[in-house]
Amino acid sequence: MLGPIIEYFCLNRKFLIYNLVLRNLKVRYRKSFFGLFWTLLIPACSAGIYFLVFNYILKVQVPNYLLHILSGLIPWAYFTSSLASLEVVAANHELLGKIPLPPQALVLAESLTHFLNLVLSLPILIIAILLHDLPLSLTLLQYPLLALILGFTVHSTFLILSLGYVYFRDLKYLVPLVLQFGFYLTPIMYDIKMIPEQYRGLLGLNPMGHLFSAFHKIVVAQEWVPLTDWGIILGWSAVLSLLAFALYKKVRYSVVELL
Amino acid sequence: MKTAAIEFHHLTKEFELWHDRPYSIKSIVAQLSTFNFKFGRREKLRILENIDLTVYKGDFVGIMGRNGVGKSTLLRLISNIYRPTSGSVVTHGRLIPLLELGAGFAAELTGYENIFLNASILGFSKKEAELKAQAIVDFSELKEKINQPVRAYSSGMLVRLGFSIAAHFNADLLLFDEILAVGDVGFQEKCLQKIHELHASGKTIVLVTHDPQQVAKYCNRCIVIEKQGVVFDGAPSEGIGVYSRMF
Repeated sequence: MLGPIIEYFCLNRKFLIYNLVLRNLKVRYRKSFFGLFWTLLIPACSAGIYFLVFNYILKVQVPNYLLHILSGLIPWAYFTSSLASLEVVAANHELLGKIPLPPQALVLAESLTHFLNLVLSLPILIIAILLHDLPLSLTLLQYPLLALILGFTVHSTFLILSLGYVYFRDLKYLVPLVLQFGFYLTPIMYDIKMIPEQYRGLLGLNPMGHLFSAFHKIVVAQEWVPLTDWGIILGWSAVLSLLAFALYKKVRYSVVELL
Repeated sequence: MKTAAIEFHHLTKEFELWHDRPYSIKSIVAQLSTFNFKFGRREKLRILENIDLTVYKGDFVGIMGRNGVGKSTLLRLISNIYRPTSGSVVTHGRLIPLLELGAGFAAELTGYENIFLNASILGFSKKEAELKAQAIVDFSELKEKINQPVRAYSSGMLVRLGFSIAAHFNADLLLFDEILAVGDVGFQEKCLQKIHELHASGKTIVLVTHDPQQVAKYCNRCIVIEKQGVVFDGAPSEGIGVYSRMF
């Protein structure tokens, strides 16, 4: 039972994953002047634009709005940038047939690279908290746990889609479209309390809904996330993880052998 | 008493070849609108059938056969890149497959950085990579070019680096797939000499090749594959005869 899980997470191939992540980072930022600094720059800039539009033009009434946007936008950027790499298995099809490189290792390395970017963009969040004259309270200790669950949720979704992409090339166009809907169906720019009460229950149908609301609760409101919310968040993460694992078991060799 | 290094048990390998398979939602919808619910035709291509074979520790096996007969597939099955359709293949000891030189190199990284990346793909640890890095650089004769990005390498230089990496790690089993066709004559000879040394030090070697001279000079066993199976398994001199009579 443990064997497949070790293989799935490449726990016996840590040096391989380390090297693949290192390669990703080097290839991505070599010859770029700002380098890793871009991971701080991009969410900060897009948060600035959203803040201008939603605060001054649309006049959204949310306390500490800039921090509210940032706290949702940073994990969302992690989610979308991961899914933007959904071609990773298909694009390396030829390579996978020539070297003993398991396909899930490629996906995991890609995932970890993006997660590292997420972690590196957290200083912005802390600066923003301090700029808003908010305290750094104990509730922030929930952040690493939530980020970890986010990591599993995103990785599983990414794995499902990158394996699926080998068979259905439409995903390349479909995924960005769904993500565009997702951006507005997930509490990022607005607060969960702004959803009319009778529809608020529907948010549980969005795998990312309560997860992103929890980021607001932890970072902006700085409160403890209710257990029922944790339940829904963990539930979605578990469902997606199991789906990803089942799909991996089914097509792990087929994606390499496909003619 | 000979101990087994690679064991094939009733191994059969088929590939699925899809005809007219829809790859997009548009084509699925288009097809469904004509009330046709059968998606594509699946053709089974049988490449290898019921292979029973044991390679022993210390063997130097030369595998010969026509193009497309399944020699590379056989190596990929040994390397756990492909999975048998039925039957099994078991390997004993650490394995280095060299199916294509330069595969797995990251073009933007330097030759030296690629040593570590390649080592990790082959399943070796950081410590082992650090220990062998200098010997690999020396053997490859790339000198200061080792610090250039690999995208600037010629195919001959890729061969040098790729082969040097594979030859220096401590494996029990080495697989080579027609890789020595590239590279200048001097280095080709050096590679074969190195393979010969590895064999002499007790390692098991499997070499896919079309060159009868290589088989005659280095191998102690020759396997000829034809019609999805092993048609000859024995002394190199006879195997070469079987192989050349096929044309």
